[in-house]
Amino acid sequence: MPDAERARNINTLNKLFALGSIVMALVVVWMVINDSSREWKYFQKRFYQLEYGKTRAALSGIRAAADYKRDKSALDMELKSAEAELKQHKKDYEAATKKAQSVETDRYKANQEYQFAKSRYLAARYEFEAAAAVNNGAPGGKAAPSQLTPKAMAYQKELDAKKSEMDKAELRYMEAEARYTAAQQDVEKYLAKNEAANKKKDKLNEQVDRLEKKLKHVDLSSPSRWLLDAPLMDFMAPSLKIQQIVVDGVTNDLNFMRIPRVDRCITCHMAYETKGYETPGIRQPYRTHPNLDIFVGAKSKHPADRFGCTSCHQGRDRGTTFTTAVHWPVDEKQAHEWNRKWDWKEYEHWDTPMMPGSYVESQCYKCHKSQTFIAEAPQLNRGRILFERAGCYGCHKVQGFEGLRKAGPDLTHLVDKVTPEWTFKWIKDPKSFRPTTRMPKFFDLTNTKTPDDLERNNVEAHALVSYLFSLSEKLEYRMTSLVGDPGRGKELVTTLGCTGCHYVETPKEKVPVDDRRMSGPTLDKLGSKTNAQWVFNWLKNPKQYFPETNMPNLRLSDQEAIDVSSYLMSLRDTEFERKNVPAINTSVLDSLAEEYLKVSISATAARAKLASWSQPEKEAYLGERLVNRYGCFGCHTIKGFEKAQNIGTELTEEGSKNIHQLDFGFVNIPHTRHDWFQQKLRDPRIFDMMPNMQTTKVKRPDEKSKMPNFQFSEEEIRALVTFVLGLTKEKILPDLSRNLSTQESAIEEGRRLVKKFNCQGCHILENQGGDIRKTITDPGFYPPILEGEGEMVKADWLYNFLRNPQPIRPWIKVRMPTFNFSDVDLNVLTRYFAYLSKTNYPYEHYDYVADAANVAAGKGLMDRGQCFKCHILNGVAPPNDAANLAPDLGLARNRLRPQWIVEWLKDPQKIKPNTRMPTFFVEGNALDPAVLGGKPEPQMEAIRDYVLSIGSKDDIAAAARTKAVVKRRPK
Amino acid sequence: MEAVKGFINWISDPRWLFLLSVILFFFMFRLRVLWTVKFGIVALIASLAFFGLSMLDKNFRIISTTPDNVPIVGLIFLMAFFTWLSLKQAFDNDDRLRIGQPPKERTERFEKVMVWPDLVYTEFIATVLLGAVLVIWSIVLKAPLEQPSNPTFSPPVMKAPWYFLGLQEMLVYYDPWLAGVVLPGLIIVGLMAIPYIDRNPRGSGYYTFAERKYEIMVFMFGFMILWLLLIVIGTFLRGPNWNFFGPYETWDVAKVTPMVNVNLSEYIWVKILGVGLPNQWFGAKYMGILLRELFGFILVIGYFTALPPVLANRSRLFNGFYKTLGGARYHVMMFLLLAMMTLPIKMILRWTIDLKYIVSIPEWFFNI
Repeated sequence: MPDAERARNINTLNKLFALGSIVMALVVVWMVINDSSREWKYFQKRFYQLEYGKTRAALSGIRAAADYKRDKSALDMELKSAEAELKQHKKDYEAATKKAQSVETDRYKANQEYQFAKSRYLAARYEFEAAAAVNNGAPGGKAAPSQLTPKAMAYQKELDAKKSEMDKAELRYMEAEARYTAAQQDVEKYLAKNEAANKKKDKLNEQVDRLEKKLKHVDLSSPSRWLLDAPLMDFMAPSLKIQQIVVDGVTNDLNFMRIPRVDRCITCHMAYETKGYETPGIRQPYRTHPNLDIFVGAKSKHPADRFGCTSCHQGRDRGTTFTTAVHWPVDEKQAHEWNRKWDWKEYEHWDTPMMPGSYVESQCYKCHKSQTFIAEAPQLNRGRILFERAGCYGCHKVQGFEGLRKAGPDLTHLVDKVTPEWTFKWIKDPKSFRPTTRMPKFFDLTNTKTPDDLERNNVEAHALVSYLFSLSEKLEYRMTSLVGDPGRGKELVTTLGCTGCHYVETPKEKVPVDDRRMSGPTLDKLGSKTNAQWVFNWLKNPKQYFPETNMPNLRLSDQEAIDVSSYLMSLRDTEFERKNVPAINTSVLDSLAEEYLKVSISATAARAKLASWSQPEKEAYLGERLVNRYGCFGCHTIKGFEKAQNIGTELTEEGSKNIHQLDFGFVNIPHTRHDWFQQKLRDPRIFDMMPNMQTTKVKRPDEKSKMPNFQFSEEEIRALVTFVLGLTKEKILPDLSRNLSTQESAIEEGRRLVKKFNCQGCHILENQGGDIRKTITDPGFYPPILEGEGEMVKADWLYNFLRNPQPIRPWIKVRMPTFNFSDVDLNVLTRYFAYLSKTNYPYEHYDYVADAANVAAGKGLMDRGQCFKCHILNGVAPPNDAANLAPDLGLARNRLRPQWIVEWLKDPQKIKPNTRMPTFFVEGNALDPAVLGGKPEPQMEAIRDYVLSIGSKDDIAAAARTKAVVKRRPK
Repeated sequence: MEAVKGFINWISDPRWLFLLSVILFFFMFRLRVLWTVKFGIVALIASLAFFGLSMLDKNFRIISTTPDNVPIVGLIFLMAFFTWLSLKQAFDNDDRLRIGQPPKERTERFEKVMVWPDLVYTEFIATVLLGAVLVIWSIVLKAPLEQPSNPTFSPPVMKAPWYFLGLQEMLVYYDPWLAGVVLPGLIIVGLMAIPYIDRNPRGSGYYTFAERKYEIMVFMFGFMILWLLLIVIGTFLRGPNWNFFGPYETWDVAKVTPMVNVNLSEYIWVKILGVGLPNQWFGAKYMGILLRELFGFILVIGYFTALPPVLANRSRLFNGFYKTLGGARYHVMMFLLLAMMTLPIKMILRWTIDLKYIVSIPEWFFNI
């Protein structure tokens, strides 16, 4: 073609094409490299190197061991001699082998013939059966079933013939088989020694072989492995590949469907369940999970293949790079370090970044909601207790916390308890009066501390006080004419058991969140707060003032009550009393009242209404609006607010809250949920502030945030944040959640009551509690341990005892109070104790027969054991120190479960650790070798029978006797 | 520097940017100097310099290098280049035609090109090079995937795909049924109608502006100003909550802009006549509503029905159209043209007098 017809210069085009091809080739190379160089491959390669080194070391360790060397050379010798022996009989051996081969051919042929005969027989059987199923040809098929058609009869004959052929073939086959076995044995005779030696060798090399196999597996440097791992070749069988766990029970919410989590964390964290990577030198991602007994381990309760990784740790399950798995640094410093080392960037498109280790316990909650206590999650437990104690649920609705009693006291009869002056000072700054109180501070906080605000706060506090007092109703209070003795009162407070729930003096150091002695308020300074009449009546009947109180009735006599109240009234804080209450600024009051009035009516109407009001009316109006604004009714019963709604954000799914829905304001903290929660709890009003943190953003007073400051400690904040982070919207499939059996949920119900009434303040139960012991010096006066209580006492006795406690250990000064439990609570508690001890509830059969001889023997044994040196009997105490006394055995008949007495005698320490009851049957020896054949069991049974025979059948009578435990036998 | 940035931020406000663009648009056909190679090079260098210098600014860098937005950066340059290229050729030809020479295309040696090797080979080379560009693009800019959507939470920056951003901008000024259904429908119908309306036989097979002035200007106004400019605005200048942000401004989620809009009925009945809306004293049934929107209807119907004949009679230009196109074509063309112009008219009304709707019947979900 002449160039003249060309529109373009072909040479230029050629050049362009060459350039384009080169560019394309380079780009393709770039693409392949880019595609095959993945972060996780680097980590996997390094892990295989580590494994290779470890395996090599283990292998050479075994090979170098003296035992191994010796055994191996011995075996080699053995093998050699066996070979030599075989060589000697070479001719015979070869002849035998030849024979075996020929016999085997026969056997094969015979077997084949048999198989053919068999299949012919089976075919004939089918033909016969099919023919037999056809009727005689008569329409309607009325022929008798026993009759065969002629055709069928012919088939039957055929079948018989085939059968005999098959049997013959089988016989021939069996004979051939027998000949073959014999020939084979003949051959093996010569090989026996050789084989035995080889077997031994295999056994010796078992571990070595395993390690060698592994070595081959983890060695990525061999040419074939290299080829399989090469770019573009790695689609067949690469050594480096994504590893993943599909977690069916934990899902990602795609709104229209839920899809299982696919945790690819183990692609890099390859040693997650391999032991041997715990040593300090090994760094992430190669460390073994630190707690394989509870998590990840195949035998643990949370095996990795069911629970995966992100169910606890969060992060992005499918992510396979450091950034896209949404690793999250604990602080700025780590963020910089990660960025430098791993090119880490903040991954914004994932709502649940990885939990910092300090908060990972929060994730326990989503599966363990049904339990009040999770043994492995102490921080979460503390957070939950604090959430309840601080009354967070009063303002913030949270599923599972409905129907709880309000956290603070009932204010219906406030006027009986405190004065308006005290209340004003208290509301303004509760902790200045009582550092241990959970009542938060509402006023003079970060966003309300300008001089104008302070003035406004005073008016608000005044309005609240006068509103609350105007609502409160006086009770009919009784006053005794008795005169109190503060000295005796003090003794009563320290000995009666008050200290199980109350501190008398404010503790010097911050007490832990779950301190049981914080169940009730600290008692000091009471004299500056209330009046003697109120204390007296409160002690006599707490439920009169506060029907829902947990404070029990200690059955104090009038004299005791007045003694205690005179002591408590002597505890005062004169400094606080001297603090003066500023007068109310009426112009601010007017402007505040107007501000609130204008919300619902026009400005003119508001001013008119205001002019018509007296000052108390204005205060009451403002007070009511403020109770609404601050949500006082969340924690206190206030008349007229019984049906008021929670004022705070619902927290049921707070742990899943979208980060963009949290207002970080100008506070310079990392944008994560936990940082925000922490900051909110540290200073709830801080997000209202301008960047200088001094002035408030431009906001109307009613637009400012209003959460009060609880002045939590950092530890408390961590605990609470842990709990709140656990309140997620994740739906866990039931089979992964902790599901409780009937018994377990009954126990949980009981635990809730035990917590509510603070039983563990005095008693040790489920390995916890007994806090009151810190205030008792002599262990003999400790309240009883309740471990195994359900096994020890009869359920009906326990029911009656809890309803109306009677002293069992009269020498103990701590008094079991009357809690006025409802029947429901009583049943929950008795069932709780029974189930905790795995005994039957409620009805039980006691299988024992007491004969007179046994009772007599029991008496003898008990005398010998000097049981009544400590035990009280029917109200008569032995002449012993009060601290060394033991329960009245007269009560045993109605109180104790017979089978328990025997168990108890066997080993008291096992049932109640640290009990003062001695072990009489030491190491299974009898108490008295002469009695009942010197066998321990019958002796224990005899003691049981005696003990059960001595008490009165009438519990009440017995109790009445013990109550007056005064009689002392002379020493 | 900050002052310059501040000025650019200010001038980038859609109302100024739009106004400026419209002025520049009509002005550019008069400046012959724009369509020369010299100016092309200067403009390219200047725009690259502007772009390069702007990259020093963090906000500008973020917004122009986000994987989603990179194609739009390319779009700006490509749009400018091809506009320049075609108009340069058109003006060159116009110059030739004026002195009696044939258009350049007519003087070229080849009226046709051989399939092999000229066409196929060229296309193949283009394929290879474009393939390389696409692969590099896919390596360098990762697919901007986000997490599964959450129906209970709307992210602050919600944008349509880039090619729909013009429509999304229209939603600011129009009810969804107009901005999302009627107007896009008219665009498609209008584009299909062009060959039947355009009776101008000249300019076939060569570039020219002088012989096809109105055709080119109308089309380019619709395409460049009412479509591409809106896409550019939507991509670079609309941030969280569809608020306006200058190219050097930080996209602050909390930004609040004053926005109180008033309907035409309220302007007339309340502000001018001072009698209150008819539906208040006439009942909120048909009569009240229709009376309330009377002026709006008059305006809208008048705009579409009265304007074409009036213009045909009064304006020499439109009279010319009427004569060349004939009655039917003229009216179809005018309807489409007027429909297109409703967008800038509505925008200007919104910006100048805060007009919300001309006809507003929320009771029937009908707003214009």
